[in-house]
Amino acid sequence: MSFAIGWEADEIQSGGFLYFDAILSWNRSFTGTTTKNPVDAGGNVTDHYINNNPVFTMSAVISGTDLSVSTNSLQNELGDIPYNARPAPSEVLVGSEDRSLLMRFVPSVINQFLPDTLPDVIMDDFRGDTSEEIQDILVNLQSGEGYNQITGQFETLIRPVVLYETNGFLSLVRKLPADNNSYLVITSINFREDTESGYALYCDLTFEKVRFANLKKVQLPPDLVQTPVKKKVTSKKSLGKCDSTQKNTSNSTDTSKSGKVDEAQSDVDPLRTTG
Amino acid sequence: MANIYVDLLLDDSPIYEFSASLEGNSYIIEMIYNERSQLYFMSLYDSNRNPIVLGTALVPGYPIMFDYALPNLTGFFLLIQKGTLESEPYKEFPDKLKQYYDLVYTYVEE
Repeated sequence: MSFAIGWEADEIQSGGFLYFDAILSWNRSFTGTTTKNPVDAGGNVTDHYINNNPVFTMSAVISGTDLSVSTNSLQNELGDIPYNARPAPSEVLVGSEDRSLLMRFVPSVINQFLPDTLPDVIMDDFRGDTSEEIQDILVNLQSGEGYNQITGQFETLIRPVVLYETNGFLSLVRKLPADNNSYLVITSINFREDTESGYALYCDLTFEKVRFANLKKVQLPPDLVQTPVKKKVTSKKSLGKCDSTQKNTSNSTDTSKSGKVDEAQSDVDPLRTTG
Repeated sequence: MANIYVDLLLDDSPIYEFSASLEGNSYIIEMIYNERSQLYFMSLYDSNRNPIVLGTALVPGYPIMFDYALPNLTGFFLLIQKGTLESEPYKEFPDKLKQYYDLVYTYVEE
């Protein structure tokens, strides 16, 4: 079993997929959380259960050695081959385009003085180490930023990925997530280098299976808009400066109010001198 | 020794604020109506909008903020029912405090 990771084209980079040469571990975690409300009997009661997003963790290796010639036969549903696939090297051809009759029939005693023509060597392009590029691709999938034309600022993009599970014959056996309603996002990437890693790229990836919510604009029922919601969206009203004239209760014209103030003052007086 | 009081403002807006001078210092008083608890909540700030006491429920006949040892405020706020009403209108009309109540700040002047 091995995996390939695929992503769709967006404003950061074009779509594609990568094949992992080896999977060292593959863990799937399905968890949930229960609410806990302590009660006087000395225990917890639970009234809700929250299902957490499934989390998949993977330790994968992408070899720096040019060994993955067979991954060229691996294709996703669009017919693309992996970014790190390497076609089998073709044989080196050495030939000459010199077909002049003069060079063929003139004896060597003479043609040694004629200008030489160099032979043509036909061979594959240089096959360098792509692990640095692959590392950049994975980092971009986890924390790629894009420019938002509407807000005019750079924002971290959500970059969903898919995992293709392959068997020993490099044919796709399963796609994760299988349904179109949920997505996988990379929540963490850890690249490991030690004395044993050599040119290979050892990475620990954490995926979370999520479901995205889209913003919906709905018309509120008119009776709801009338009073309660209308109040909630009211902006703060400033009443300005209050007339802070100090009034003595003993000579106030509003006897009802001053009487109640006196009553309250006597009520809070610890000595209860009045009343 | 005399009981002094200062009339403060009440309004029907669900959120409003005003400034007032209490015992010689300027303060900002903010009122927010909480629909769920059906009460206005009062917050007291100094003139630089530094919070002093936040979110105290505005209930009648109770010495509001009396229990706080505030350096320059020796008194308390009081929500007084107007006239000789016997009922408790703040329960039936919690968002109409202005019609049924007066808000004062009162303290004792030595």
